[in-house]
Amino acid sequence: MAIPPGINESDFTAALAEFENAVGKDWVFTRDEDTRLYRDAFSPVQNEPEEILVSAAVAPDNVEEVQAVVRTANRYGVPIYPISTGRNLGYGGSAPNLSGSVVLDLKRMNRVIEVDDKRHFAIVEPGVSYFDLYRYIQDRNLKVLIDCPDPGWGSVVGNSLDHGVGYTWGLYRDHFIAHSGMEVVLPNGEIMRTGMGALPGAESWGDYRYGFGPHVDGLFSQGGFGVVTKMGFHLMPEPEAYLKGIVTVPARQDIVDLTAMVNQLEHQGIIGMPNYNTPLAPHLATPEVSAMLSQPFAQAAQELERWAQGNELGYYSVELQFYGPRETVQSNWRYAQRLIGDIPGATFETLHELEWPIAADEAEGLHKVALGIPNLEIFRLGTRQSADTLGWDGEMWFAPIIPKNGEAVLEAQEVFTEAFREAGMPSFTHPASTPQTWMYRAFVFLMGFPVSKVDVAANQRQREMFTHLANLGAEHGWGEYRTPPIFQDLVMSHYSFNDHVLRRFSETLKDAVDPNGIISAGRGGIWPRHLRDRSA
Amino acid sequence: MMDRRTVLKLGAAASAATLLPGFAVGAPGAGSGVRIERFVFDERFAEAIAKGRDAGETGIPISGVDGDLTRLWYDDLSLRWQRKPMALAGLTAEDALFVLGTLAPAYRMRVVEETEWGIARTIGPTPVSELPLYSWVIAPADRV
Ligand SMILES: Cc1cc2nc3c(=O)[nH]c(=O)nc-3n(C[C@H](O)[C@H](O)[C@H](O)COP(=O)(O)OP(=O)(O)OC[C@H]3O[C@@H](n4cnc5c(N)ncnc54)[C@H](O)[C@@H]3O)c2cc1C
Repeated sequence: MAIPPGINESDFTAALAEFENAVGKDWVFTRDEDTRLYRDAFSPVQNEPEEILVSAAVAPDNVEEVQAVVRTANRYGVPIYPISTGRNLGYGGSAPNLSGSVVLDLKRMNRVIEVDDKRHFAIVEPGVSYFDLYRYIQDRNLKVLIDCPDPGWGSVVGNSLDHGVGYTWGLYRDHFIAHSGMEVVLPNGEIMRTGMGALPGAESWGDYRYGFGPHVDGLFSQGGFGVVTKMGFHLMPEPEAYLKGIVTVPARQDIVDLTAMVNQLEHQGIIGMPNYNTPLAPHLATPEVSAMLSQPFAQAAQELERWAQGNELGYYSVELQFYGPRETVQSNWRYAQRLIGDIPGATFETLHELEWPIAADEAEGLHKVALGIPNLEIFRLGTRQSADTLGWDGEMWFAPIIPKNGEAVLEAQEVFTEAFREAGMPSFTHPASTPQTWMYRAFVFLMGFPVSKVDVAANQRQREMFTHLANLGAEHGWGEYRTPPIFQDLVMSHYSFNDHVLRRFSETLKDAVDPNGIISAGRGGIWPRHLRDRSA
Repeated sequence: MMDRRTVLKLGAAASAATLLPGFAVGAPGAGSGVRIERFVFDERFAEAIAKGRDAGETGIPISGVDGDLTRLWYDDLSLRWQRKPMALAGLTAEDALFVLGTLAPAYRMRVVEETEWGIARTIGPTPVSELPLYSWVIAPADRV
C-alpha cells in the first residue's frame, strides 16, 4: 500500500480506519487494482517516475460523510483530492497534483436536488453527470435545456470547477459563469454556503449568485480551498426553434472583419456559439497542400490562399446558431447575412432548422450538444480525425486564451506554426487554423497533443513542445485557461504580474484556510506552505 | 500500441467459478470465468457480427454498437448498472472498450480481460478502414 507523502504508516492506517468508520468499509479503496483506476488514462508521463499515483480513495455518500473524512484528513495531515466524476481527460483525469494523495471520490453523491423550469435553474450534487441531469429533465418533461461538454459523462459540478465549457449560448456554455451558489466543506470540516445559500430560509439560491459580501466562489474552482458538495446552475429555457447557417469567406485576412461581425451578433445575444472552421480542412493532408505548408509561414500562407481561391473553396467558414422564437431566428439569420454580406465574396447557406421538442432521429448527424443533448459520440473512432489517423492513445489539451479578434488569430497561426517548423515537428496549426469559441468573450487556440501509453520518448518530446509553446504563448500575452497537473506550476508562473502577486495572494489565503495543506495540494499552481519549496 | 497485444487479466478473474454458458473455448469472454449477462459486438465488422450471432445463439442478450455508445449507455446499461453491476463481454474496436471501461468503475466494475483479437476491415459504405478488434470482459469488482 502506498503512503501519502509526509505521513507515517501508523497515522495513515489510523486515518484509513476512520475513513472506513465514516463511509463504510466498502467505500475505502487501497488495493492496487482499485487505486489504479484513478490513474490518468491520458497521462503524458505514463509509466515514468513523474506519473501521479494515488495512495487510496474514499467515496462518501453524503455531506456528513464528506465532513467526517475531511476532519480526519485534517487531523492526520492526509492530502486529499476531491473529484466529482473524475473524467477530466486531457486535463488530468482523476489524478491529483500531488502523488500519494487520497482521492475523495464524490460519484456516489449523485442527487439532483431541484430543477426549476420557470426560473430556469438546477441545484445538483457533484456526482450528477450531464446524462443524469438530462434524464431528470426528460422524465419530468421540464422545459429547460442543459449546456454540456462533448463527453456527456462528466459532472456538472466537476466540469464547472475546472472552468469547463459547452456549446450553446455564451452565458450558459461557460459553466462556471453559469453557476449560482455553492455548498462547500472547508478544510476544517465546516460547511459553508455561498450566494443566497448563505441566507437561511432564502429560496433564491439558484437565482442570484452573489448574495452579499466578497464573492469567494472562484476560490473553489481550480483551487484547493474546499470540497464542493452542491452547486446551483442557471439553465436556458427550452427555445421554440433552432436554425444553423454557415457563412464562407474567401480570403485569409477576412477573419478580421468576420470575427468583428460575429462578435457584434454574439454580444448582442443574437446568436449562440459560433463555430469557426476552414473549408480547406479536408485538403490539408494532400501531398500538394502539405508541400505548400512545409514552407516558411508567409509563403505557405500566400500559396494556400491562392490555391483556395483558385479552387473556389473559400478560406474560412463560420457556423452561426440561432435559438429562439420561430420568427426571430429567421429574421436574425437575415440580419446576419446583411451584416456579413459586406465582406466581398461572402456566401451563406442555411444548414438546419429544427423545432422543440426535438426527436432523437432529427438530431442524428447533428452536433447534439448544441441542442442540449448529452452524448458520447466524440469518442467514436473517426470523430476526431487527427487523433485517429495518428493512432493516439489520448491527448493533452493545450488551451491558450487569445483575444477574440481576427488579428490575434492571424498572429497565433503564425507564432505557433513557425514554432513547430523550427522544432522540426509536424505542426498542429497552419495558416488557416481557427479558434475555439467556448468562452463567451475570448478565443481558445486549442491543440491536442498526442500521448502514448507505451512510447515514453514520444511523450517526452510532446511535453517539451507543450512547454515551449506555453512559454512562447506567454511572451505574446496568451495563457492557458486550464491544463493538466504537470503543467499547472508552469502556467501559473506565467500569470506573473507584479512579482506573481496573484499566486502569492492565493498562497496567503491557502495558508489561512487550509493550514495543514490537505486539500488538492498544488491545484492551479497553489501549494500549501510545507510543499512550496518542493515545487519551486 | 504494443500493450494492446498482451492479454490483460486482472485480479483473480480466471479463478472465478462460472463459465460463459455455451461459449466455445477461445470465444470472447470464455476464459474470464464470470457469467456473462450481455455480449456487445461492433456492427462495423463482419467478424464481430458473427461473434455476436454466436453469443446470441447461446441465449445471451446481445447489443450491436458502431463506436458511439450513447444509446446503449443511456437507454440501457446505465439503468441496469444503477440497479446492480453485471458482467459483459465484447468484441469491438477500441472506442467502445475505452468508453465502457471508463464508465464501469463508477458502478464497481472494471475491465478484467482485454485481448487484441486481430485486425479487421470495416464493412458497408466508405470509408473502409482496418482496425484492431479487442475481445474483452467487464465484470463486477467483487467477482474478480
Ligand atoms: C475528447 C474530449 C473532449 C472533451 N470535450 C470537452 C468539452 O467539450 N468541454 C469541456 O469542458 N471539457 C472537455 N473535455 C475535458 C474533460 O473531459 C471534461 O471537461 C470533463 O467534464 C471533466 O471531467 P469531470 O466532469 O468528470 O470533472 P472532474 O474530473 O470530477 O473534476 C475536474 C477537477 O475539478 C476539481 N473538482 C471536481 N469536483 C470537485 C469538488 N466537488 N470539490 C472541489 N474540487 C473539485 C478537481 O480538481 C478535479 O480534478 C474533453 C476531453 C476529451 C478527451
